[in-house]
Amino acid sequence: MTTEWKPEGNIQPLWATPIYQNIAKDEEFDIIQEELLSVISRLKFGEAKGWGPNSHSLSEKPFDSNCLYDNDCTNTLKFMHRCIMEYLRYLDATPVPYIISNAWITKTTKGKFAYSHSHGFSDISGVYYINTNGEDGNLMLENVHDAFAGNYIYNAIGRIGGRVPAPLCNGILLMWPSNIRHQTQENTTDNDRFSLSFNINFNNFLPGNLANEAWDCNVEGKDFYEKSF
Amino acid sequence: MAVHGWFSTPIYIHDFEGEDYEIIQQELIEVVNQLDFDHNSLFKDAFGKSTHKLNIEGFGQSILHKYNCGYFLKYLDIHLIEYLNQIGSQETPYLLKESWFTETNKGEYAHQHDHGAFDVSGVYYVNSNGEDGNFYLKNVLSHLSSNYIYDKVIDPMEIPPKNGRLLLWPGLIPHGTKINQTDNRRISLSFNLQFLRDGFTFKNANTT
Repeated sequence: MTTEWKPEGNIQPLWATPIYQNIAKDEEFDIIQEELLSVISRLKFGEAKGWGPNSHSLSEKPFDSNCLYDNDCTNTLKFMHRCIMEYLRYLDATPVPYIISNAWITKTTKGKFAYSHSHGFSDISGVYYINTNGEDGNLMLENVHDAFAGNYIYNAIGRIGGRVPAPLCNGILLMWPSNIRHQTQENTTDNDRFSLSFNINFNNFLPGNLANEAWDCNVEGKDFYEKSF
Repeated sequence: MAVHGWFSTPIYIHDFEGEDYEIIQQELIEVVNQLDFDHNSLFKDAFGKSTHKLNIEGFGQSILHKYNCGYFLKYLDIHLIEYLNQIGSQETPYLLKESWFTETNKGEYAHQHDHGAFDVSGVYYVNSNGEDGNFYLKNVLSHLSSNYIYDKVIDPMEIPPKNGRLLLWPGLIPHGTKINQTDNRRISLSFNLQFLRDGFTFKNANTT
């Protein structure tokens, strides 16, 4: 994607980080909700060791499993696939095979939140809101320019947009580059917020001259991976 | 569906026209006609003979103040305030610490560099034919390109020169100019400024 110079106006906002947002609606929302609420009813949740007393709870083996593949969440995967392709189209990126390397459910009860962290080595990270009242703790993406705050201009824009609260509503899907640090605000309500989190990796060597060097998909869910292309 | 752009870098562009343009041009061309240009020795040793020339006073002083370029300084002040206003910042005293003219002849260019600790750097084009070497800013997020998404959005930004064009940007952004492949002697004015830090006062600061 090329940043084009726009001769109108004084301020040219360069090099924005593209953040994807979509919302499942109507029948699609209903079947995704039914699918994921069914998964939640079968999962056990626990707090990760060493994450602090106020950290949210996670489904079992959150980073070594994929609750979408494990529970055959076809409707959710179809919605996500459409969103991922839209994200790539916006970037003028050639669609390449991807794998949802892990997916888990997060449970955030009153007084809990997610500490600042990133999913560094993945390409895309994302969240889908299953049960929120809209006031139980927004996702906050941290400004990727924080290290430039010694410059007056960067510091100035950091003050007004350093941590941007993302929208919070049932059915919203958000995706962002995985290396962006993020956190959630404390849930100060009595609602138990449930959300789906996931990481995505692309097979960067397809298509093209290096096709023979392509990665092999070695996680469960390979069938869906192969059907996608 | 929507893809929103977060965390952009604001740069400022203004093209002077009409009477404002005429006043600035007259003031700056009078100064340029009094100056001598050469390849700054440190500059040339580091970057080779294809680098552009500077007025012989070089860096570390302000040619605008030395020649009392009051009109340009006044207009710069106006647009600096506009820059700050448009990014939601408050007015702050600043010091225009360095300013110099650059002469770029055929085959010459400005190597990629940055102005590090200065808050805002800028350029004003005095004499360009519009094709004598685009200005470019390197994407400050290029170091994030190991991520698939960032890899798609790390292009540099190119801006063509134009007489009367003022550009302002955060001084830490690496930038340069493409080779002047025309016979035109491009003349531009460059400058660096710094805003007041807490705990200090400037004796001769501009006040925005």
